[in-house]
Parts: sequence; C-alpha cells; structure tokens
Amino acid sequence: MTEETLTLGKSELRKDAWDKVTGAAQYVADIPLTDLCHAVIVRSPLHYGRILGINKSAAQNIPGVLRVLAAEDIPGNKIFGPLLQDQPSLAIDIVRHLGEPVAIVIADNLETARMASELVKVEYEPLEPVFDPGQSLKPGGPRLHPEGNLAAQFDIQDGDIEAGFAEADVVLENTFSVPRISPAYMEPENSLARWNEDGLITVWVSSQHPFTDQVFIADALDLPVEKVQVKSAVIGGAFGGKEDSSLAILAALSAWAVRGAVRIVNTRNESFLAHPKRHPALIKMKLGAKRDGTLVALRAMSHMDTGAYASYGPAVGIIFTETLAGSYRIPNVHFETFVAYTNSPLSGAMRGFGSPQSHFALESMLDMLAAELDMHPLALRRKNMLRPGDKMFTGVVVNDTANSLPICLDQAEAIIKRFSQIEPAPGKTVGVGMALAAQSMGLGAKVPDDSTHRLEWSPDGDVYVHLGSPDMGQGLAMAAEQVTAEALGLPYEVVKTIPLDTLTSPNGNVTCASRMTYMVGNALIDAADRLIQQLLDEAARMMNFPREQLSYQVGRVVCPDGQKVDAAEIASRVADDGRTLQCESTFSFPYPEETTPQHLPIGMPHVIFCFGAQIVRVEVDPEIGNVDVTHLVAIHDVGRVISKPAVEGQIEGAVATGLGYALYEEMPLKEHQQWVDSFTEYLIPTTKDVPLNYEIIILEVPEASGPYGAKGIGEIPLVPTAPAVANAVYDAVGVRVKSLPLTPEKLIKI
Amino acid sequence: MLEFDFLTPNRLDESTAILEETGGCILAGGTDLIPKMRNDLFFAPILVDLSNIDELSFIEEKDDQIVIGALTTHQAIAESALLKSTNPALVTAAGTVGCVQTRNRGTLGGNIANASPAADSVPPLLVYDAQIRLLNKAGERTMPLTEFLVGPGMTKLESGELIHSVSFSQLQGAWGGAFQKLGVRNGMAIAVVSVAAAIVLDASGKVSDTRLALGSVASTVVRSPKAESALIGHEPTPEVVSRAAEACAEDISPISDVRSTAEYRRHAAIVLARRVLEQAAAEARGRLV
Ligand SMILES: Cc1cc2nc3c(=O)[nH]c(=O)nc-3n(C[C@H](O)[C@H](O)[C@H](O)COP(=O)(O)OP(=O)(O)OC[C@H]3O[C@@H](n4cnc5c(N)ncnc54)[C@H](O)[C@@H]3O)c2cc1C
Repeated sequence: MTEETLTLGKSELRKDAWDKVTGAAQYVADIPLTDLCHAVIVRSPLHYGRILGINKSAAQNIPGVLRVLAAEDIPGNKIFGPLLQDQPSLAIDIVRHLGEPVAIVIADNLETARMASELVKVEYEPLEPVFDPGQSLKPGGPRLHPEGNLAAQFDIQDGDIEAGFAEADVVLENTFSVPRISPAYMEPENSLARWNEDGLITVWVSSQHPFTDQVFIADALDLPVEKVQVKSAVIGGAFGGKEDSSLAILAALSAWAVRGAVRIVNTRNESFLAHPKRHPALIKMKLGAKRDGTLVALRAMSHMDTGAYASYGPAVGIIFTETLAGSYRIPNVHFETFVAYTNSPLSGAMRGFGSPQSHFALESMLDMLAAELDMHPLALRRKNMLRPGDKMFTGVVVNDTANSLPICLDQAEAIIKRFSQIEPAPGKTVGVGMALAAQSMGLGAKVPDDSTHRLEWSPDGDVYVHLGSPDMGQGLAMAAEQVTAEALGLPYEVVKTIPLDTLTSPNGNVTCASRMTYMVGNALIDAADRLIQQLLDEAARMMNFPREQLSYQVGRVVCPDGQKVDAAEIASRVADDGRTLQCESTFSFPYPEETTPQHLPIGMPHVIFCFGAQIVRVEVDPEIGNVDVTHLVAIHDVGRVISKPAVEGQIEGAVATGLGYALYEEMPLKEHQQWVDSFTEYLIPTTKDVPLNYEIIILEVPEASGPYGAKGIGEIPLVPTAPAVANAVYDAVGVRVKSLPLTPEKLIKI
Repeated sequence: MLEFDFLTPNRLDESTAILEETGGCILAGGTDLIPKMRNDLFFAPILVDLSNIDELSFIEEKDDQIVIGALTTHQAIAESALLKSTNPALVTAAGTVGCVQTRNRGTLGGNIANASPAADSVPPLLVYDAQIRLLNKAGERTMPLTEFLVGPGMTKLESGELIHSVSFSQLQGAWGGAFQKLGVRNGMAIAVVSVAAAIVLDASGKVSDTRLALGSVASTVVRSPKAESALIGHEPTPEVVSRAAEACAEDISPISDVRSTAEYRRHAAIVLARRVLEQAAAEARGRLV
C-alpha cells in the first residue's frame, strides 16, 4: 500500500494493554460486589443416567447456604439452546453427559457452597452411554433426545458424482479421524449476577454473545428482556467456546432466587467437562482425478460428535460440509454429513468451526493423490485451485479474492525450495509439507446477521465507539478505533471504546465467524460518514452558514470565512441543548439474492472466503517418532491490514493452536471412564514447542465489500497447520497418519 | 477451603523438633504438594515449611564425595559448575524439570520424597549409587537411594524425619555420564521415558563399571542389572551397547496411560538407553589417556 494512512495498518498500542499486563483489568472473577454470594454447580457423575431423586435438605441445612436449586426452581423456560432448544439449564430427569449441571448450591461463601454441593444427594439409575457418533445413529442404541440422535444432517450434491468417478483415472479412498479439542482459554467460564431492588437483573458475562444471553436469561426467569441487563466484562479468551449461555443463565437464576448477588466461576476441570469443544469427526473421503491431476470427483461421508447437546453443532456441520472441497474446483461432489448426539461432552463453536476437520482430510488426500500421480503437491494444488469467477459446488461464484491463491502458491514454492536446502540435525529425518486453506466468513445465507454500532462525539473531543459486540481479547476494540479514527481523520488516541451493556449499547450480534472487523468496520465507516454530516448540519445551524459551504477537516468544521471550529465545541453546544452528537449504523452481512444460491438449507451457502497457505519443515526422530516442527511460514490474505500487530497476533496464536491439534491435543476417555480434564494430561504447545524459525507473510488482496478492503483472519490461520504438518511428516518418514494428533506411536513400527 | 496449620521453623534442630512433635508434613518448594492439595489428592492438617532452612541448600565437595542439600533447587543444580564436572547427567536432568518457575521453586529433596517414577533427578543419582541421609530429632540414618524409593509416592521416610541431603562418590578415571528424557512435548514435559547412564573404562578401553537407570518404566526409577552386566568387561562398541540396551527391556515393566502406551515406552526405553550409553561411552573414551 502506498497511499498514506493515519492509523490504518499501523502498530497502535491497545488501550487495554496496560490494564492487562498490570492485572488491573477486571474479569468476571475480579468484579467486586458487596454481599456477594457464590454458587457451585452439582454435576452429573455419570455419562448417562436417569435422575431418581434429588435430596437438597442436607445441603440446605448447612449454615451459610442460602438456596439449593434444581430444574423445578426455574420459573420460566428450563431449556435453552442457540440453534436447537435441547439443553436443560439444570438437568430434567435425565443426565446426558458427565459434568452436566444437575443442581446449584448458593452460599454466602465459596467454601461453604463447595462443601454443601457435595451433600446434595442425587440418586441415579445408570444407563448405558454411547460415545461414537456412528454408533449413536444405529438403531437399537439409546435414544438421547425425543427426536432421536441426529442433531443435523446435510446432503449436498453438485454435478454427477457417478460420472465424475467414471471419468477418473485414479481414485483414492481413505478414512480420517480428528479428536475433541478444548478451546483452552486462560479464563475459564464464569458469570456474575445481581438482582436489584427495582427488579432489574444485572449479569456480567465473559461471553461472545451478551445479547443472546440476555434473551435466554429473560426466557428462563420469565422476565421481559428489558429487565435483564447483560454487561460484557473483560474476556480472557473465547475461541468460540464462549458462545454458550449456560453459566449466565445459572448465575442470573441464582441471583434471582436469593434476591442478591451471586458469582459462578468454573474450575478448569468443569471447563473441560461441561463447555463446548471442537467436534471430533470421522471422515470417509473418496477423491477421483485424471492422470494429469485434474480433480473430477469428491465424495465424503462424515460423522461429527456434537455430544449431549447440539450447541452450535448443526452450524459447524454446515461449514464443515462447505469447506470439504477446500480451495479447489471439483465439478462433481457429493457430501453427506451427520451431526450426532452422544454422551460425550458437548461440542459447539470453536475457532475454525468445522474447517480444521474438513481440511485435515482433504489436504492430506491431496498429498496422497500427488504421490500417486507422481506430481508435486504444489503443482496439483495449482492445477485445481479456485480462480475468480469459478463456481463452487454450492453455486457460489468465487470473487476476486481468490487471486490470493496463486500468490500463496508462488510464495510457497520458493519457501519449499528454501526449506528443502536446510541440513537435517544429526540423526533426524526431515520433511517439508504444505496445505492450503479456505475459511468462510459470516453466519451463512438466510441467517439474519445485522450488526449495529454507534459513534458518539463527546464534548471533550473524544469519540466513543459504542461497540455492539464484545472484544473477546482478539483486539476488536482496537480495530474499531482504528477504522473510526481513519474515517474521521482523527488520531487513534482520541477514539475510545465503551464496554458493551445491553441496556445502552446497540446490538452488534455475536462475535464470531471471522467477520468482526468486517462487520464493525463497515458499520463504523458508515456511522463516521453520517456523523460528519450531522456535525456539519449542527454547525450550519449554529453558525448560520449555508450547509453546503461548510466542510469537514480532521476533527474540525471549516467555515467559508476560513474559520475552523472544533467538533468538540459543536458537540458541547449540542450537549447544552440536552442532545448528543451521535450516530448509529447497521451493517448487514451481504447475501445478494442475485448471486446467492437459494436452494440450500438455512445457513448455506457462505459467500465470502478467506484463503491462506502454510508451509512447515519438520524433523522426525525416525526411531522414536518424535516430531519437531522446526520451521513454519504462514501466508494469509487479510484483504487489508487494519492493525498489523493484531493480525500477527491472530496468526501466531492460531498457528500454536494448529500445532496443538496436529501434535498433542485430544480429550480421550481414560481409566474409570473419566475424560481427560486437566492441563496435566491435556497438553497444549508451550513456547518450546512452537517453531523457532517462524515467518508470517500477510497478503492484501482487497475484498470489495470489506472496510478499506479488509476481511477475516480470526480462524483461518489454524486451519492449514495440522494437514501441513501431516504432509511434512509423510515427506520425512513416509508414514501417512490419518488420525490426529500425530503422536510418535503412530509414526513408528514397534 | 483447605485449612491447615502452617509452621515455618528457622533452624534445622527446630525443624526436626517440630516434625517430631506434630508429625506434620514437610513443604519445600510446594510444586508437587500444593497442586495435589488443591486437587484434593492429598491433605495434611499441618504443613512444616522448610524454606527458611538455608543450611539444607548447598552443593559441596567433601573428600571425593559430592553432597547436595535437600533444599537445593533444580535451577541451582542446573547452574552448578561442580556438578557439571562431576555428574553432568544430573545437571542435564535438572535443566529439563518443568519450566523456569518450577526449577526455581522445586527442590531435590521434594523430587526424591515425592517418589514419582518420572522424577528427573533420580536416574542420574541412581547411576552414581547415591546415598540418602535422613534426619530426625533423635539422630540420623543413611541408606542407598534405591532402597529409600519403595513405590509410586512411597518411600522409607518416617514420620518426624526429613531428608537432609544426598551424596555420591565421584567417578574416577575414564568415566562418562549422560541423561536423556523423552516427553510428549518439549516444554513442561513429564518424562514418558528417561534414562541415565554412567560408564567407567579401564586402560584397555573395556567397561570396568557401569550403571543404567530408567524412569517412567516401572513403579519406581529402576536400575537395569541386565544391561549393566551385558557391558561389564566389554569394549562399548555399537553392537555391545545395542545389546545392552535391548537387555534393559527385561528389567522394566512399563504401563499404558494417557501419555503413552506400554509398548511404546518399552521401545523408546531401549532406544534412549542405547543413545545414553553411547553418549556416556564417548565421553569416557575422551578421558582415556
Ligand atoms: C508445572 C510443573 C512441572 C513439573 N515438571 C517436572 C519435571 O519435568 N520433572 C520432574 O521430575 N518433576 C516435575 N515436577 C514436579 C516437581 O516440581 C518436582 O518433583 C520438585 O522437585 C518437587 O520439589 P518441591 O520442593 O516443590 O517439593 P514439595 O512439593 O514441597 O514436596 C514434595 C514432597 O516431598 C516432601 N519433601 C519435600 N522436601 C522434603 C525433605 N527435605 N525431606 C522429606 N520430605 C520432603 C513433601 O512432604 C512432599 O511429600 C513438576 C511440577 C510442576 C508443578
């Protein structure tokens, strides 16, 4: 970019940085309230069982215990669920997963609540659980929900799959499996609620969707939504896992029941057991190609385990299905995806949202095909990559941002060459591998997606952004401030974000789907334009100049006589009138009817995609199978950089997450039928496990509909990592691992 | 909430008196104890914090003996020039314990008393035939470290007793020592398998003395007499070393858990044993005159 910008693309200091590093930032667990009570959840010790009785009295009689609540004590709707109403806030008659909330004990101190929670006597009849999604859908097993065990099903076809395979010279068939992954944020889930004398309930949340929480809380308590105020606290990481209202509902219920203030904070073990994870999946894939490498047919049959409750499972199934063909043109496809209930911990939204699963299978298959055809994996990808104007199997025509794909591949070629020349460490076998990735943005067609945000020019000269969606730690506020500053021609320092409060903030919709900078940026650019117009209107009225003779210049109104008046002064005079100089704008994710295929299920298709590539070099110890990722280059197109360090931060963090998916992370059942539920056993990469030689290449191929051309970067950088590592490992030792994580045991023959 | 008495003696005699009187549980760096207490895996009504007892924190050379106080941290061991020149395996092992914070707090005595089969400082001590010195109000006793370690979390430590120090003789002549550890990841890794070896060569280049110890492959850290006897009297050629390493499989009984499988541990133990023996032998050869 050669054009001069004020703040766009620059490294600004995050305004919350200082508070975070000094510990001053207030997370839900830090917010001081007087007469605060604490709640501890009584959780199911069974994977599956019938509740025969709940005896609260022993716990209730402990001094300091205020209430013991079970499902019967919920005055309103006892069931919630973001997509399917299937999840009881407190178990009703049946428990469907280990750790499911059954009752809640509220006491005037945490220790008493904990102790008393162990005295709540719940009698169960154990039932035989099912953990495998394929098994769960077979007849004869347990029926976990009244409508059966299928939470969602997708069957998408394009072209003629039989003809496609008939045309193929080479057909490969493989089965891939990917594990359950924890978002592993630093701050476990929590919520704090206060019942106020006037009947209003105030709830502080660490949540990606406070406005959704508000609706569920009102519904559970049978209150009008205006009686529920949800406030966004500082969030210590979310990664999709905090698109879940369960603790917000329970905290509000507790505060309502005791007419006081109650806090719930999950322990790490509770977080592992009872909050959404990334879906484990079993993916059967069949790929057909011509001898020259042209892909002609792709068939996939996949089972995803959404656990005991659907959470966002059906939507994850959609993006999974839509990304099965990755960044490639494949004329004949048939994808069947089953999202099944099991007695596993629930799976829901998690960074990547289906795309890490599909890409592991597809990008592994491509390298296997390349080997079969004796073609370079890069050449195979180049031959089949999407180009602007290509029709994807959903019928969506790829826009100009697909121009980033050939750039990714050209860069990758040079990097692969460079990596291949690095000498192996003694005794190590080296390999180089790559993968491409496509990640959709947005919630999908026919899902309403309006995002409203507000700008306010305060009389002191500062501009406030009333952000309608929470900053979950990724730096959304900084992006919003930079876009606003750029649009108003003001220094970044004077633009400040007001934390979200559902009573006063506009509704910006859930923070998710790689679309926040896009949505917020577009809304704020428009709001800034209109704010300037409003400023000029006010100035014209105040100073009696014809409106068209006034112009706006970096925070000032320029009058025809050359006089310049500060916007602050005008804002101040507006304030004198008891008004506020402010402007709200809504951006709706665009699904133009002319270009958006309408034949697909709700939530399909996605119409804007981000692309990227990663290249890794691994050193494998051929005797013990240890994999060291020594070098990694991440190439990602962001359309336009708003904040450089934030983009780099997203990529760095995501790559580490991707390496965890590749090499370490899984949540298996261990002895005594317990899930791995702590960081002692659930290993995530440490600083010593991320490559020392590590490079980020940011591409800027503008997205025409994006703010200054920007698009998403929140999810895609973890998508290509695992298949790139698997491909590099194959290159090194000739072993194709089809199940993640790539543990040493899978790489060597014993 | 965990409620317990917390006693902080300032002198060694005061410590043993308090331990005798209260039967309290010793707290050193707390890196094993506190996580266990917080996870309800262990509880003690009285904790006796030894961290003020500076006289238990030392590394010294006495005659041909090296003595390390129980309160010496892993970091101090990792940085010790004396240990680097006398027991490099121990220095390497200490450097792999947890992360910087763990090494700064965690102590040698705690590592031993905790009696994990994965305790990193133990294999390098076993290959030096280390002795452990125990103290109580009435007096003291000394025993071989192998004897002290009974099983996972089980030792010969008696109520009222504390670990004072461990000691071992320096190896003489053409000796070499090495330690290697395999974890699931590189940082903060608990050993899937760890192996330490010491080798002493006679003037003709034959093994006159050797010891091999393996962690995480049995209920305690174990020596491998089979491997050791396969080496004694032989020149440590690659074939001899390989055979000795293979032999250690008979002395171990690994289990499967979330970190790894029994079969993999057995396989990796043999590979690591071979590498460690080769490394120690190469070092020893370098000292042949
Ligand atoms: C994050 C993390 C990573 C870790 N990584 C490793 C690793 O890589 N390798 C490894 O080996 N260990 C590891 N550990 C375990 C632990 O750090 C070590 O075992 C450490 O040496 C324990 O020492 P401490 O002083 O903290 O013991 P404490 O926790 O204070 O005590 C442990 C036990 O020893 C007893 N004890 C302590 N001192 C004495 C004494 N002088 N006499 C008698 N009894 C005594 C205590 O009563 C208690 O039973 C890790 C721990 C953590 C938390």
